[in-house]
Amino acid sequence: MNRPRQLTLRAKLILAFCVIASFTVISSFAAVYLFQVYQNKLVNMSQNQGEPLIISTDLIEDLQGLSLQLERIKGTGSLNQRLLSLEELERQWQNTLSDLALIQSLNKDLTSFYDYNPESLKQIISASSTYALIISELSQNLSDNADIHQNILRHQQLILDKYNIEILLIRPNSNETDLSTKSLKLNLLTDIEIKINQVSALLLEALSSKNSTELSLLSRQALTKLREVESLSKHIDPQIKKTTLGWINHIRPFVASPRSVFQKGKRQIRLTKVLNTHILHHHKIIDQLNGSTREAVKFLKQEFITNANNLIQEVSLASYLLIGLALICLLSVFLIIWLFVSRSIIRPFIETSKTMQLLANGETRITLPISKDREVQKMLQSLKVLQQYVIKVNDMAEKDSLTDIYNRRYFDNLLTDTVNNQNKESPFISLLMCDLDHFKPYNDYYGHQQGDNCLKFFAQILQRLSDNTTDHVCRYGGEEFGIIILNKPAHYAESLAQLICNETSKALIPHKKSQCADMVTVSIGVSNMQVNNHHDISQLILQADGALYQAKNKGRNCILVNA
Amino acid sequence: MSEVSVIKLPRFKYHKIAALFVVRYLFVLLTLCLSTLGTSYAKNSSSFSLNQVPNLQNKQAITLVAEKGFWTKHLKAELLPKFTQKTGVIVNLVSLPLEEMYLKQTNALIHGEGQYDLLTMEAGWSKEWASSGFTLPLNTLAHQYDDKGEAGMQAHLIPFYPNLLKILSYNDEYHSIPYNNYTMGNHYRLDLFEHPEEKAAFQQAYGYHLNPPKSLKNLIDVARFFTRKKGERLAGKILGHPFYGLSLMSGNKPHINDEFSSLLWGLGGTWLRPIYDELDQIISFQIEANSDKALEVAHAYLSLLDFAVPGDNNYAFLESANSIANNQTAMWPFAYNNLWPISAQVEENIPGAKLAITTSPLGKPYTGAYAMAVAYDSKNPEAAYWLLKYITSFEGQLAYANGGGNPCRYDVVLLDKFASKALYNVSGAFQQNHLDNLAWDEEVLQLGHFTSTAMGKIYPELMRTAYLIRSNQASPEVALEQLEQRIFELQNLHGEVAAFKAVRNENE
Repeated sequence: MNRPRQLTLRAKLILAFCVIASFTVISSFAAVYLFQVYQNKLVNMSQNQGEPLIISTDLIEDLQGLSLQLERIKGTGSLNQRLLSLEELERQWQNTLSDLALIQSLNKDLTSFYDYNPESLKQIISASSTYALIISELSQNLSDNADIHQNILRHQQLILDKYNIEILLIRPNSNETDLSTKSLKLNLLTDIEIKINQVSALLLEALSSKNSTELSLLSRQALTKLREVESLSKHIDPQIKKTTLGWINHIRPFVASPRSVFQKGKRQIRLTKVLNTHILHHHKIIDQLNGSTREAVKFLKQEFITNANNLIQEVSLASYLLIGLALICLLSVFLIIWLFVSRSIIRPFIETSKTMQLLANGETRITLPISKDREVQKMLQSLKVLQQYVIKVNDMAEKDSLTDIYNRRYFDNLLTDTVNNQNKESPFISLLMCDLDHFKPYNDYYGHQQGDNCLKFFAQILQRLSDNTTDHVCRYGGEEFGIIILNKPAHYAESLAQLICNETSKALIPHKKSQCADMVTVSIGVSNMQVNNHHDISQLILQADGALYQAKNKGRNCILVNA
Repeated sequence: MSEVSVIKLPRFKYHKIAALFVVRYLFVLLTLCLSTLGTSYAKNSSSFSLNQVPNLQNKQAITLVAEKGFWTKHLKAELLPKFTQKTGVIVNLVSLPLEEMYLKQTNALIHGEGQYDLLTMEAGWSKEWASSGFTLPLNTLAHQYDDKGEAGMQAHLIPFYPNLLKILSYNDEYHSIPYNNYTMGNHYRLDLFEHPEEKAAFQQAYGYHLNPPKSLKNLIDVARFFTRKKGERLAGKILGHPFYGLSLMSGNKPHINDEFSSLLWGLGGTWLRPIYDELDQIISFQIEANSDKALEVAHAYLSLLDFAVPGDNNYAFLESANSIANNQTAMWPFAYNNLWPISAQVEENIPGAKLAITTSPLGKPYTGAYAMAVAYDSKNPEAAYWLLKYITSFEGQLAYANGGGNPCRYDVVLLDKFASKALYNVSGAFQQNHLDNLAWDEEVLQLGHFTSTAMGKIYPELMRTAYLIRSNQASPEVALEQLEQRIFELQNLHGEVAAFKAVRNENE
């Protein structure tokens, strides 16, 4: 079964970088995406509600403007003013039409508010030329009426003046004989004068009449009266007759002609009615559009507020989401760095570094860290080799090359370190100083090779009998050996010394030159002490040496404990 | 209703058919009632005669304008001398062709010189003149001159067709009385339509029975069917000359518009439509001249021209009447019924020929009448009033009918003698004309054609447009759009109420 391949450190680093980069990219994209979403929503709000709202507001103003223009067109301003208003009306309707189309294209929902046909507005606009004709004629008629009014009055006055003169001329010349003739003439002139007045009055009445039927009646009456004047004037004197016929010819067009006051009056009434109907139609459409637009504005405002609130909530939520995402990313990055980079990559390096430092300090009793990374494993393997070298070097420095037990350096260092590293309680040290009896003669007799073998053998006895954990066996120098026992009771040192002494004897190593036995023997001095300082150590050694000296003096192959 | 058309009707329309039968039943019932009333009125038609004209104070001669033709002759020979004899008032007759009547009389009226006392008008001018005050209301005249007062005039008007009076009325007042009814009908060759060979051939070619046409397609089919070249067979005989499916008054004259209008109304369209308020007063007009229906009519008319008797710019009613009288065509679908005596001459001219009449295709024959009214500037309105009453009396209308005219009084129309075979060549169209007039009744009030006071100005534009289309000087689309704008201007500038263009749905 294939185990999944472990990733290399580089791959892990790349992976970690990619993961962190991915988080960064995801966060950034999320932020950008949300920004775009809300930007689009804002744009949509602006297009669907904001812009139509602004245009609708303008539209309402335009509609009010249209009403104003209509009132001006309907009013009694000058022709130019009314035509300018008409022009403005046309322009504003065009604006209105395009605004209506625009707001409905921006927001389709607004279509439901408007119940109008754009064609009807186009027709209204296209009718402007006809309105202009009507307005022009109405204005012209108004202007003409004032002139006609003056004209009728002036000519009435002129003819009446003539009649008054004629009547005055007749009266002074009156005498008894032609009284009846003069009276008839006067009556006739008076009759004509009355009828002239009536014709003028009918014409003036017609000028201010607003009723077609009344105008028809006035027309018939004026025509009848005029005919009566014409008929009566046949019977008057030539001079005044000529004047009267002149008046009749002048006044007849006002009574009966295409520009008679009656026909013009009727036309005025008709055109005014037609124009008013159209204006009313405009107002109806304006009112309808106004109502619709106000409803639309209300709807847009409501929709805008709702959408704005929704957007605020959404943006707020999105902010929280982004913050949450950022925190998650941060946490993830932290976890990745901590769990992955720190623990899997950096930590093994740190541990390895520490180990290396310990090794550099000569510490060899260290446990190498464990790592699954191949690169670290390789480094640890190297470190292990290095550790072994250090151990070897240490061994070389602390051990005796002949006997493979600790040397004098180690002996001294151990005692010093024990004092230096002591805790609250001072260590209890037992020191055994062992010296092979008469070893020089042995060496001389058996040779140095055999002497060395004897030393090796004795060292093995010491190592075999001592406790490796607490007893440190050292070659103190030549045939002298020291055993440092840490924190064991004093009787243990004494027992061990006795055991060593016995076991050496039992080994039965021949020693023909010994003066105390036929075999190799050992003398051992033992001392025990609670060591507090270096002085104590010296004392300990001196005491052990002293005990050894005494043992030698006592005949050797014995132990002596310096109490 | 033909069997074929019934079979073709889908099931869901049966309730409409039932409604149609009910309406027809009521219509026949109404006709019978009116007939009875007319007959009884005719029997008691002594209600007004020349003898009842009082002694007139004003003996000033009066001037009457009359349409040139047999009517003028008849007036001169019969009615006017009797009136002068009775009243002592001399009546000068000014005979004018139709083309000149409007302008001359209008100019005279504008100048108010009393040139004409009794005016003759086409129905289209009556409202314009009345609104201008050029004609005097009949009630006013009756109130002033009639010993029976307004009741005398009201009783006088009872036997007149209501549709004609409504066309002539202004603001619910009558200003004029109709005398010459020119309601249209379809004058067709019964002998050809009933010829077995032709019937079979038509059935084979078009899949339905040969009958006087009722729809546009039907009209085109029948017109196409009867159009034959010289040498081809018609009703079992070899033709010595080309023969045409129909005759149209397609010249540059007013009558072309009457054909267009008849077709348009038949399709449910109109040039302009009055809009009424709740008090039945017209508040505005809706112009529908540029409608799909008008366009359909224009295209149909152009199609029909392929099967119509060829005519020049002057081709109008007389030419059309003669074309049927001279065996050039199978039908004159938009024939003025007052020209029946000419159409009917085909029976004399062609052995075996038989002329019949039915309502015009699509069932909305052009209707109207020439009428007379007293001018406002009349120097002798009293005499003019009595002359008007006399000319339009039973006696006057009977004399008019006897002379070949188409009367406007149903008490004259429904006289038994006019239903006799002996007078078929004179009064053969009376019955159909009577039915069509009754059928119109109030419906005329739904057409701007009969309700606008600006019709005198609009009518020439209708004629102009129809001829532009007919002569291919303008496409129907362009011509109708121009017409719509023109009607808009004319109605608003000359009418009493405003006009608005119909709003076309953008989706159309």
